[in-house]
Amino acid sequence: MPWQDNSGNRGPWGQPPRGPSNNDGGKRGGGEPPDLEDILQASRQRLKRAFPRGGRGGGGRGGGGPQFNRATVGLIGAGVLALWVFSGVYQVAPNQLAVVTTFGKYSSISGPGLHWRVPYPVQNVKKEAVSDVRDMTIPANDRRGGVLSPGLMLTGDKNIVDVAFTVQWKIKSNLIPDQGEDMPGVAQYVFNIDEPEALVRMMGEAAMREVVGKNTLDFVQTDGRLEVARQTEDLMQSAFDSYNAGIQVERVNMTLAEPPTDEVNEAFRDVQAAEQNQATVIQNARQYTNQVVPEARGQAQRILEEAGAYAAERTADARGQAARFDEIYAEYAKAKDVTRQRMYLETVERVLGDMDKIIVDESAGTGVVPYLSLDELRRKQAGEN
Amino acid sequence: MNRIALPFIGFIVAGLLLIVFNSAFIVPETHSALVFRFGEPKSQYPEAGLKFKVPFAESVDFIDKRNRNLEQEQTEIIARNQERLIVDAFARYRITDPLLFYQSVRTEIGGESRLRSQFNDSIRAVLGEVTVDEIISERRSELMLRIRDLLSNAARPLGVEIIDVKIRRADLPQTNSEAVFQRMIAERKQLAQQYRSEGTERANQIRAQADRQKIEIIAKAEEEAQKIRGAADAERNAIFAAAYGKDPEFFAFYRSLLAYEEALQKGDTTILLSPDSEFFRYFNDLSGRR
Repeated sequence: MPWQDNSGNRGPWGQPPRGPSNNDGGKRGGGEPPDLEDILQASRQRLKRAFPRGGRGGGGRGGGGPQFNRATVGLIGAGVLALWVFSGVYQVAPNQLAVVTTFGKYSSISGPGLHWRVPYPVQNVKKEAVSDVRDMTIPANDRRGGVLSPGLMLTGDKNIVDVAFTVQWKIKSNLIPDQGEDMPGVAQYVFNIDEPEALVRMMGEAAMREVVGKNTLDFVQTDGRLEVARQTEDLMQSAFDSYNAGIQVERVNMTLAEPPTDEVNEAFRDVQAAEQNQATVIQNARQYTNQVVPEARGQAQRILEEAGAYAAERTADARGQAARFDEIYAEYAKAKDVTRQRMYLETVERVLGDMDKIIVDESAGTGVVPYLSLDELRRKQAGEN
Repeated sequence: MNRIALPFIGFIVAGLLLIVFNSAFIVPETHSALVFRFGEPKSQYPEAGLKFKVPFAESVDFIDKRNRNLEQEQTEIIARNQERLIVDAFARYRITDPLLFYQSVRTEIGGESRLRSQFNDSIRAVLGEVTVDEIISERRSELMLRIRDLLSNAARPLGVEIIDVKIRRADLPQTNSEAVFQRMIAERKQLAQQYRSEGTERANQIRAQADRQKIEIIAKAEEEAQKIRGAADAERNAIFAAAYGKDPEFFAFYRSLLAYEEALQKGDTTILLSPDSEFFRYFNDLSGRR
């Protein structure tokens, strides 16, 4: 409502009326933008009316004059007062809190909605968007080509890492001062700190470097990213709290934690490749194991089964033979000599039946050495076959 | 009466207003006020609010009492072990005694330039006594406190309180950074080689274990198989012994017959027989006598 502020700056006389007998001049003047020429002319007329006429004309002639002037002045005064009072109205947006000061001194906090203060110069209002979370990227500028990144920092093991992070922060929105403090957060923010944005940036940088300096490169780059961010957050918050800065750090996010240059990055990638390579080689070996061992087990099973088969066969065979013997023996036991004779003859019959035989009678060839050509016998055999 | 009173009252009111406006002043929460009489500082108002002074004779000046920033950039320090570091630091300070502050340095800008040189001295004094490792990691917060205390001593005569000192960055100079990069690369290469070699080692180990397992499994199976065969043979013998033990003499006869049949196959054997053999017992003699 800018016109309120205008009326506040207009001073104690406000806007003079335009016409000589205009009762609603004050109201109209308040609503329209004033023209310099009009103002000058109007005030000249008014002065002429109010003072010189009263002095020149005397009481008798201008009996209605002073009364008329008094009424006008009274009306103008009332209008100005109304405007002044009305200029104390202010609105606080839903995301804001307003800090009210009385003669420069902090007096209260007002929340969202329509409020009234004692207008200028008694009370003043400063509004701050306390619900807005502000994002800050550190370092502010991106990596410049060819030049070293501004995010380079030393780690605890004296390596260098390129870190970028964002800080999300807001103005504290408590309405009642925390214990041991004399103002709520937003008032602290308004009164205590010179250039809060710059403070957040510098503190973020200092805290991140302090935390990274305490940890190793590996930790910062891998497992420790969350932890580093959290510690940075804590360091920043405790500093802001000790300053009574009214700043709340919502979150620190590490967006980048990389090797410092492309060359170093390449070396890091090679390590990753080597790790992959290692995993592959080991995986292949495991695969080999998974192939060889079950195969061996299969082979072992086969050997055992074969042995089992052998055992079964041999024992079964033995039992069979034993059974056969038992049968035969049972028969034999009934008539030993006859059976024995018969078995002998049957066997010799079977054996000799298919065989080349030469019967040599000693008595027939007495005195003569019988000649037996084995070669000839062989030939005969070969011919038969 | 109107003729005289109106302008008169007007003048009195205007005069009073002028006096009020010239004697009252507002001290904001962010500043302290100093009141000067004819240019000479007379009193100070550190608290915010509506204050009064003698009109016309006295004037007011305001001095910031907020938590302010003091930066010290690019200080090259030589640590105890002769290593160099480029240090950026900042201090947060507050003007607690505006009168003293005004008397010694007049303005915030003047104060800052004085503080800055003292800040620089304090940084060098504290960080020059310790090693780079201590600055980077081990004792950073403690060193920041020591710089703060040193700077506080120097700032107190100016009416300034040093709230905090932070080392913002502490980096190696460019040439040293290059050396660090090279070392990091070398370390990584070594690590990569180690991974590769360890991979091969582990793979070989796994393969060897697999081979051993294979041989063990088969050997165990062979052992078991031999035992099974042995047991079977033993059982076979036991079966035979049980059966043939009934009549060893008949067994010898019976088994011999089986063996003859088995051993003397058709075709590959020529046999010379004597007619005197048992087989020909009746061949020459009907009665079977010999």
